This record gives sequence, C-alpha cells and structure tokens, in this order.
Amino acid sequence: MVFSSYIFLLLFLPLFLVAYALTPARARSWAILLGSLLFYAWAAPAALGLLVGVIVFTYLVGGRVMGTSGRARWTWLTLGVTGNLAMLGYFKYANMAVSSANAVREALGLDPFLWNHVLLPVGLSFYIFHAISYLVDLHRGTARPPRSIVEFGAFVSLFPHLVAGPILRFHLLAEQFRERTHTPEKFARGAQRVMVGLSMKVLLADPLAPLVNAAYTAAHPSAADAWLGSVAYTLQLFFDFAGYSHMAIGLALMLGFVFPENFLDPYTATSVTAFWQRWHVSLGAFLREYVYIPLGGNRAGPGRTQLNLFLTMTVGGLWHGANWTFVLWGMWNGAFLVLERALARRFRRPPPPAWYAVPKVMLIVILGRVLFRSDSVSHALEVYRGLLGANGAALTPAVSLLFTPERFAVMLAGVAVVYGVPLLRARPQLLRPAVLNGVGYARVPVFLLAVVTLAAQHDAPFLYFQF
Amino acid sequence: MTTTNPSSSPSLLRRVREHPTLAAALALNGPDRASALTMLLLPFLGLAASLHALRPDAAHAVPHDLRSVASGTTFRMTEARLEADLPGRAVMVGVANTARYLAVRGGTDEVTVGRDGWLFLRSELAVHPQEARDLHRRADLIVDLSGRLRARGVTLLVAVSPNKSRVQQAFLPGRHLPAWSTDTYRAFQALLRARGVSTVDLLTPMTAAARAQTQYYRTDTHWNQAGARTAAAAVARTVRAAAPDLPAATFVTAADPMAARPGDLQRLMGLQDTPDGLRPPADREAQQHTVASGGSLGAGLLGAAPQVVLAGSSYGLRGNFHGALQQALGSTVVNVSREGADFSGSLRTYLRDPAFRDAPPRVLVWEIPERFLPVPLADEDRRPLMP
Repeated sequence: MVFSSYIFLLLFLPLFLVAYALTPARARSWAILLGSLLFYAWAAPAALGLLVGVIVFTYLVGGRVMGTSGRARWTWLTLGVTGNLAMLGYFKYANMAVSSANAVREALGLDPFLWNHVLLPVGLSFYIFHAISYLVDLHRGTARPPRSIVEFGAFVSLFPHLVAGPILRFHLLAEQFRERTHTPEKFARGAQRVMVGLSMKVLLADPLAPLVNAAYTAAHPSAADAWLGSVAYTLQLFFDFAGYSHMAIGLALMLGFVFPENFLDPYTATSVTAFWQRWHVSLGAFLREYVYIPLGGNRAGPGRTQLNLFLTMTVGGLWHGANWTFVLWGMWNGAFLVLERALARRFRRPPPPAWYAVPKVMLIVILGRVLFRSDSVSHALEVYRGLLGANGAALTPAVSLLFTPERFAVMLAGVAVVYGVPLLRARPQLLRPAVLNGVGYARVPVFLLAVVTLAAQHDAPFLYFQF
Repeated sequence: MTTTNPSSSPSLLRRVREHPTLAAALALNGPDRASALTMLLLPFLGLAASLHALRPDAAHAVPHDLRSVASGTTFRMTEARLEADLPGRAVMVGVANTARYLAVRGGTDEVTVGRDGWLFLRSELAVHPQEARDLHRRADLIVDLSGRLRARGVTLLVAVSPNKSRVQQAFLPGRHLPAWSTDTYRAFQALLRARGVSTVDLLTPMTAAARAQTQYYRTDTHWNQAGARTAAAAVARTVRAAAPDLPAATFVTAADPMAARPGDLQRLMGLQDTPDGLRPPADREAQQHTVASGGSLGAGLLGAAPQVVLAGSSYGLRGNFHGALQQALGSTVVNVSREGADFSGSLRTYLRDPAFRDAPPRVLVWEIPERFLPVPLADEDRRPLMP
C-alpha cells in the first residue's frame, strides 16, 4: 500500500486511526503491529512471512544477546547480524552475484550457472536495517530491550517507516514505545507534514516521471535529452523521497512518535560532505554508526579514515541496489568526500561562496545520479555521452513530446520550493506576517488539489520502494 | 427502574464539539487548526465514500478466499474497485485537470492543448519507430483484401481520414507539426496506389478547405460538419468514377438549433462538466441530418444488394458524414461504421455478416483514421481481413 493512494488515505488511515484511538494505551503496540502487517500484506502478501520471520528471529537472538555476556554475547550478536545480512544478501544480491559470476564464466568459455531469478520483497532493505540496529543497540547497551515481541514487532513493522524509511535506529524509538504523548499539537503538526509530503509527491514529483523515463529510455540521448532528463530526475527524486519522508514523519507524529528529520535542505549544501549530512539523513546516520565506526572511523589516522569513508559510501551505494551502477555511484560520492577532506587538510582555505559552491555540488550530484538512474553501466555511459553532446544537441521526439509547458512549470515550481523554502525559513522577515500566515493556510487547498489529482493520474509508486 | 433525564444527556453535536481532540484542534492557531481539521475530516469523509464504493455488488465481487488473499488478488481488486467507484471521482478528475489547464494551459498525458483552445490527441504526434514496417504490413492486408473483393465483383475504395493535427496544424502549440513528424498519410496512400488499390485523397481537399473554414471540431478528435462535407465530396467523386451508373436518389438536409457540442477530447480531459469559462470552450453547431426525400430509398433497403457500403470508424458517424456522402453522391449508401473500430473493426464485422456474403455491394468504401496506421498491429490484424 502506498501513502499516495486512496486505499491508504481514505480507507486504511481512518480505520487505523479509529482502531488506534479506541485501543487502550497498553495494547497500542498490538494495534500498530496488526495494522502494519495488514499495510505490508496489501503490497506483498507473499512476503509477509519473511517480515514475520525476521521479527521472530531477531527478537529471539536479541534475547540471547541480553541474556549472555562476554564472548557468548558477541557470538549471538554476530549470529543475529549475519543472519539478517544473509537474508538481505540472498534476496537482494544473489541475482547480481550469479550474473556477475556467469559473465566471468562465459568469458572463460565455461557454462553459466543455472539460476532462478529471486524477487526482492518490498521494504526488505529497510526492515533488515531496523533489525540490525536493534541487535547492535542491545549489545552496546544504548537502549533498553522491548517489553515483548509485540513491541519489537511494532518497532520493525511500524507502517510509517516500514517500506521506505526513514531508517530508525532502535535506541531512537525504544523509549517512545514505552511512553509517548498524543496531543492535538502533535496531530496538527503531523497532519501538516502529511499534507506537505503528499503535495510534493503528487504535484511536483509524479508529473516529471514520464519526462525522466523518456530521457532515460532514449537509445542515444542527445545533450538536451540527457541534461533535461537528469535535472528533472534530480527534482523528481527529491520531491518523491522527501515527500515520502514528510508523510512518514507526519503519520508517526499523528501516532505520537517523533522521528528524526530525513532531509535538511540538501540542495542548498555548499559541499558534498554537507550534502550527505542533509540527504537521506537516516541512512547516513545508520551507516556512520553501524559501518563507519565499526570499520574504525577516524580513530586510526588520516589515511585509514579516508579509506573508511570511501568504503562506507560504497556500502551505502550497494545498499541501494544489486547493480554495479549503485556500487560506482557510491564510489563516486565516496571519492568526492575523500577529496574534500584531503583538500581541506592540505589548503585549509575558507569555504567558497554559496553562489559558486551550491551549483558545483549540484553538478556533482547530478552527474553521479546518472549512475543511480541508469539500468546498467553501459546505459550510464550512453547518458554520459549524451551529456557531452556526442549524440547531437536537440531534444529527441519522445522527450520533446513530453516536455510540455506544465512540466516546465512544475520544474520551475520545484526549483522555487527547493531554494525558496530554506530562504524563507532563514529570513522570514522577507514576507509580511500576513503573507506567511497565508502560506500556512495555502497548505490545505494545495493538499486537496493533490488528493483530487490522485484521481487523474496513473499508478505512481514511490521511487524508494525499489530499494 | 432507571430513569433518564434528557437535559442531563449532552447532544451528539455537543459531545463531538467537546471531544478533547477536536476541541484542542479548534484551539490551535489558524493554519495549524486548518491542517488538523482537514486531516481529521478528510479521511473520515473519504471513509464513508470508500465504504460506499466497496458496498457488496454481485456484478463486481471481490474474491475473499485464502488463495486470492495470499496471491494479492483480493487487495488488488479491492483497490481497483475503490478507485473506479469512488463517489465524485469524475468531479475530482475535472477539478484537477481544470486547475492544470487554468494554471499553465496544461493538458493531460493524452491531450495536448493547442492555440485558441484547440485540443489535440497526443498520440497523433507520437513517434513510432517501426512505422515503415507496420505501414507495409497493413498495406499487404489491404492489397490481399482488395484482390479477394475484386474476385467477387466488389471495388474496394480506401479513404484514410487525416489526423486533425495534420489538417489543423496551424492551431498546434508551435503552429506546425513537430519536426520529427513523418508524412504517414501520403506514404501509405502511395503504398496502396503502387499496388493497384483505389484510394481517395482526403488530405489535399481538407487542407485546402481548412484555410477558409476549420474542418475539425476544436475540442474533438473528429472532423466537423464542414470537414465531413469536404471529405464526402472527395469520396463521392471517386465512387462515381468507379460506378458511374448508381441508382439516383435525392436527399434533403435539415439542421437542429445551434447548441453546444462538448468534444471527446474534453471528456478525455475530464472537463465535460466544467463551465466553459474554465476550460477550452465547447464547440457549437447546428447539427445536420440528411434524409432521403420522397420515395427514393435506393437499393439495398428493398431487398436488393446495396450499391455502396461505407465501413468506417467513428469518423463515419460524426459530422453527418454519411448524409453528406449520400447527398454528394446522389445515391444511397449503407453505413456500417461503428464506434471504437480501430483499424479494421467495422470492416471485419461487415465482411463476416451474411448481408455481405449474400449480397455484396458494388463499391465498398473503407474509411480508416490515419492515427491507427503507424502503430504495431494487434493480434487480430495479423490475420487476413476477409475469411
């Protein structure tokens, strides 16, 4: 079930809110667990067993982690993390491993392995990370264990973050499952976030999808195709994923949970390092705590720090998908993080002005996203050829047909939101209080327009569901 | 015995108003209050609408057995039914597309908004990478059909109705067809003529006539009455050349009062119920009807074989084309055109009909919309047109 659908907004959500409100406080984890399992089953009933299996396995191993000490405790942690990673590895990376091995075997003149393609269950990457954070946090002692498997199951499957994050480390939510408040203010703030998120998704991200698809399915994209498609994708991905995160955070607030922010105006970042502190913050935080720090972090000298940084970003790339494009994309980002650190240490110059730094970072981001969006490395190379003008300059017909005035207007509106909202947040005095108040009220009609627009658009799942 | 004091029992309205969540929501500041109330009210209004949409209906029952649930069929069908039957769905589509039109003169994925409120079917402007192959395949089918019909004494006459975007391209956003457009019309006509199939060129006279009077409805895919008359005159000339001794008949044309005529492209945008001031305004016309005058019913209606049959698409049913054709020809034409015929739907149906098998016409006019020619062949179109 996707948030931007009538089945969620008009059927699941009100029924769940009623059931949740009528459930006594001590049993609300039951309501969350059952509601979330239904939410998940709606999208992937066949994969429900795997989600339940991960919950049961991780909870049992977590119990052993808490019940033992010393080497045994470490062994149980290793078993739990390895077991979860093995499930992730099988469902997400086995296809890639076999096809890569077969490519080598065929090059050597050997028969390829026979293999049935494995389907990736929706949300697996996210709930496996939730499970791992639970085990690690118990082992580190940074969180109290849940009171029951129901509470733990509710944490893993909590529907606002189940299928596309934010990735929540267990210690951030453990206490909230024991005690949280439900106030009208929280509900109102949550409502606002849901409204903003749905508006971003439906009005700013979805209209760009056909244009991006056309540009990225052109056999030989021209310079105009490749640049237009890549810029449009940069906007689409932001409004799709940030919109989803707004909705997730808002829905959680309506249930009394406070989630950390997942996007902090990333397109205004003046360095690649800052960009990655603001984009998909929950993934960055997870990788820092559970990959970068265990690798040694910055505790073993500058050279090892740089290597750890690079490896962490590469792992982050691979997490997004079983494709060499994601690995290269992770390496691309890791290389720029390493470069920025090295240059900062070497020259110790003051940071460049925003008018120069922001476009530079965006260019690096857009060029990197070509790998992220392309189906294969060879496809990405063809898009890079297009960006360089090797396939001609003018828009190809399929892209031109879809580059309509309304899509151009959506792109302009998207840029205005990306840069205007942070500016107004930093300098609210730019607008009169009455106008600012009017902007607050405008959320309602814009949201209602997004709701009715759902009726006029075709199926448009969130992009991050595929990861 | 229990007694109830009515004055001590708060009314439902009062209880709702004093509910802690609602009361607290009402106490919030302006924008926050609006958001909270919207999110309190909308899902619950939506819930009522959803339950209405999903009410038991034997004709659209959703399976609930374990197998259907496990495979996701139950969920998918429930969702599809909700989206299809949600009360007010048409209004919502209209509101969304009206907002898009008013904000940036935007169309939809199917409809392009041109100049002066002209609407065009976007698929007419699409690129078809395999166009040459599919034009040849269709030409092969028609050549085969033409030969079979000739063996039965029937002359096939192919009349391709040109794309609106080709004839009225002055109203496209850029005033002309995109640079990538191919001359599908003339290419297909040349293919057929080179292989001995009789064709009628509708493009040349309609393009010429369009300089003085529009030939298509502004908000509809089809030709208007003027365009239908132009096309009918061209078809009649060619039919006369193939069969100069058709039985004569006279016809009279009457017109209804002038009235609005919302087009199919308006409906495709969901703007059929939107006021004219908020959408590309509907066309207006005095709809014409042509009928035989006196007792000149002609052949085909009194038991004899029809002399001329028109097997067309929806174009054969619009703009009084059939009437205009009879009037221009001065002879009766039997019309077997039908809606949604695509490339060959009406023709295939007619060729299988006993009326054709028992009494084939002298001339069979096959009207085909240009936009169906360059698209890949449907399964049905891979088989010969005539059994």
